[in-house]
Amino acid sequence: MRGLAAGAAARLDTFVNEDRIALAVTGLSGAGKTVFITSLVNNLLALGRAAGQGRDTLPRLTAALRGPDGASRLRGVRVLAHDGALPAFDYAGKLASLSADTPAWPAPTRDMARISLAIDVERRGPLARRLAGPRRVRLDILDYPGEWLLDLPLLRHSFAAWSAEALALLRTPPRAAVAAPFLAFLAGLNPAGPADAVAIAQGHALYRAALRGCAAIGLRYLQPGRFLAAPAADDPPFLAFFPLEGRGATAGLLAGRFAAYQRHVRRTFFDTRFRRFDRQVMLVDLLSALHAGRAAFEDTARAVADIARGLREGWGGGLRADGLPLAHHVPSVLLGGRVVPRPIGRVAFVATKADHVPALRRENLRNLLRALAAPAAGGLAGPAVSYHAAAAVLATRDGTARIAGRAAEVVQGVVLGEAQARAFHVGDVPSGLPPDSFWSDSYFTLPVFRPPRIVADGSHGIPHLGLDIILAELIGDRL
Amino acid sequence: MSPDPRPAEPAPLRQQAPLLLEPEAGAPAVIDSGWQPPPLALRRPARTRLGWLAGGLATLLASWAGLAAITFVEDLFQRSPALGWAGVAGFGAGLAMLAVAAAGELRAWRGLARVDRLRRLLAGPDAAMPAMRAAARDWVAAVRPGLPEAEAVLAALDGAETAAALRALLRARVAAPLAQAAGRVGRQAALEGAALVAILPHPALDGVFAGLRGLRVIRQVAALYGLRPGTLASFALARRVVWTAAGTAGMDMLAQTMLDQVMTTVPGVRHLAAAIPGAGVAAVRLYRLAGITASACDPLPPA
Ligand SMILES: Nc1nc2c(ncn2[C@@H]2O[C@H](COP(=O)(O)OP(=O)(O)OP(=O)(O)O)[C@@H](O)[C@H]2O)c(=O)[nH]1
Ligand SMILES: [Mg+2]
Repeated sequence: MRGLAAGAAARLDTFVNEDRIALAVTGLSGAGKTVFITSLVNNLLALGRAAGQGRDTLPRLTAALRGPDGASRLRGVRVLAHDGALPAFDYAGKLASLSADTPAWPAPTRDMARISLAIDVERRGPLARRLAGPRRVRLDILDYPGEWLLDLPLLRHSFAAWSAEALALLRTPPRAAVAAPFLAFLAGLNPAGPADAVAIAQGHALYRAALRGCAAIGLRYLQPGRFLAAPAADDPPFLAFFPLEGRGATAGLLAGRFAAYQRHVRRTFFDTRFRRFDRQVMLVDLLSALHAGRAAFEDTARAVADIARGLREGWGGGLRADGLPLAHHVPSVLLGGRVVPRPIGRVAFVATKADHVPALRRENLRNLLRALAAPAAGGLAGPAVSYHAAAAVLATRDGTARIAGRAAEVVQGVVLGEAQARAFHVGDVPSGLPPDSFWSDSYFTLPVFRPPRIVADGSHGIPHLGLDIILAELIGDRL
Repeated sequence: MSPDPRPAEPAPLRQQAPLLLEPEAGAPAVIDSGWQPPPLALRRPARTRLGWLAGGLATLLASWAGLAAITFVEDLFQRSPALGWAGVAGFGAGLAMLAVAAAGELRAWRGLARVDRLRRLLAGPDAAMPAMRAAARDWVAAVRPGLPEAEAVLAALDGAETAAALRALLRARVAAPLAQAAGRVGRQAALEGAALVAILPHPALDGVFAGLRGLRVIRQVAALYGLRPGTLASFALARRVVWTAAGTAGMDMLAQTMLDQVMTTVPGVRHLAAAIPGAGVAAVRLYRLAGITASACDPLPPA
């Protein structure tokens, strides 16, 4: 009775004063999720520092936050004390290494981590502002290894369907060459034969090696994502599977493990996060994909389309009685986590690392992303979808250089580990799906530029390109 | 990290290929992208029309009542001087009481504003030192009744050269004793709360009682901090307390550790809590409320 009353009071406070935005930051590995989150947190904190010390690091968001009298309605931003089971996102550590004298980019993410911000804002109406005081917007952000993302589309498939798809893909170049040992092994395996533990372990190791080989040549559509990590001694036994067509004892055993893996993903990853979010940003490292050749680009396109389709149709987590996928619902705080219909409000697709592209071509990058994602995302019923080309951390400056006697738009940046700035010419960025003539055999990895100078106490924010527009677009309406 | 190995002889350059050029002579070692975000002062929004509206209405009402009173007293004088004087005395007394009440409210509002101002100043840079010291002096003077060594602190204020030193001084010699006093208020209320819950005839009354006692805790603690809230200011204060609680400490309100702590600091509560369900919870809430009110009234930024 008393506990109930106290719970009700806490919920009432949450209901009246707090609005929760669960922001899903999605993207394949290396897309820039961790950097994006670090810069977002840093710039929001710089914006919301105590009176007189804040900096307008996110002009477009500030504009969205202007009250009727022209002053910002923002009252403050702080990182909330951590609660819950997930590990805390090590924001301070990441900022420290980015802003160090010899700066370093964050290491690839190994596990899930969460950070929550409280953004205090004045209410909009004059009456509400006077009577009810400020409002708290709680922004929950999750970081995770990008490889895991492609496990979500996996949830929709049966073992047979997945095997057919995966093997068909594996038999096309350039995968076929990398996966030759595994494909040879498959040719010698009888799916109907008795399950041979040694052969299965060997098949798993070969499949895993094939996936890692594909990753090494820039391919991105690799399932299951967890196979890309180095095999560990404590890998659960159900992890040891590989795609196999046909029926029989071996196939049956593998199908069982596949199903166990699906359950595992659903429980540890999907249920903790992907079921409940109301805003989503999908980061795509389009430039790297473009330069890694046709197969890598098509892989990225496939992944983007798959994720967008998941947004539309759900992840096979089951449909609700009203026929809408679960992903379209977020729990209401008032009902204590029960799922009530509330559509995903907004989705932003972002081509990251746009600081590798001079200003004039950024629009092309954005259009290319739109061409890629729109066919799959276009069917999204509710959410407002926006497309951006942005850099969470601006590491370059626009300039011009003479290339083969002609003046060209370039960006200037210091390659990590070098002592002097160089000009980088990004080449053609098509503004729509590239024609066949675009592709050549050359393979080019994007230079890794040294992060810019960042004031270590966080008072000046992190230089960025267009982060404010993304934020204004994504959460401006809820502030 | 670098382009694919290019053939030694200059190949015809395809315009579309990405290219990382060699550094030019004198190229800088660090790129300055010209990032210089302008300062952004998060000021409180300016007063709105609502204030004028309320002011206008109040002026109308006051002048109407004043004129009516004058004509009424004139009327009385015309009947008999004695009646007239009686009327003057009555109105005068009424007006005086209103004025006292209004002054009290005004003082309380000013007190709240003073806390806000000092909080802003204390969080600010060293440059504001004189203003900071003056505001601190005001605050210490206001909390003098609850502070045994107020004079010594006032003398020590002049010795503080930097904002950090001033903050440290205020924290150690003003905020700490006040917080202790608030703790005493909380323990007293906790004991009373537990005892009262024990004798209340119906559990549904617990909440009503706890609410009333809670308001008193807020006012007692506020008084300790030099704020003597009137009725209106009490509401503003209660709102602020709720806000502070929700932002900082709301979640541990009922945590087991909290319960244990109160049980050990307020001995009487333990016996009551063991015997009567709910007594412990009421006690914890009141105790906690005192602490939260104290942090809402405390102008020092968190250490
Ligand atoms: N110049 C520049 N480089 C960026 C930017 N964002 C990301 N990068 C580069 O991309 C790399 C990968 O970024 P991360 O944020 O670690 O990528 P992630 O999506 O978290 O990757 P996983 O943790 O493996 O899933 C960084 O180490 C940077 O080198 C950007 O805005 N500008
Ligand atoms: Mg990461």
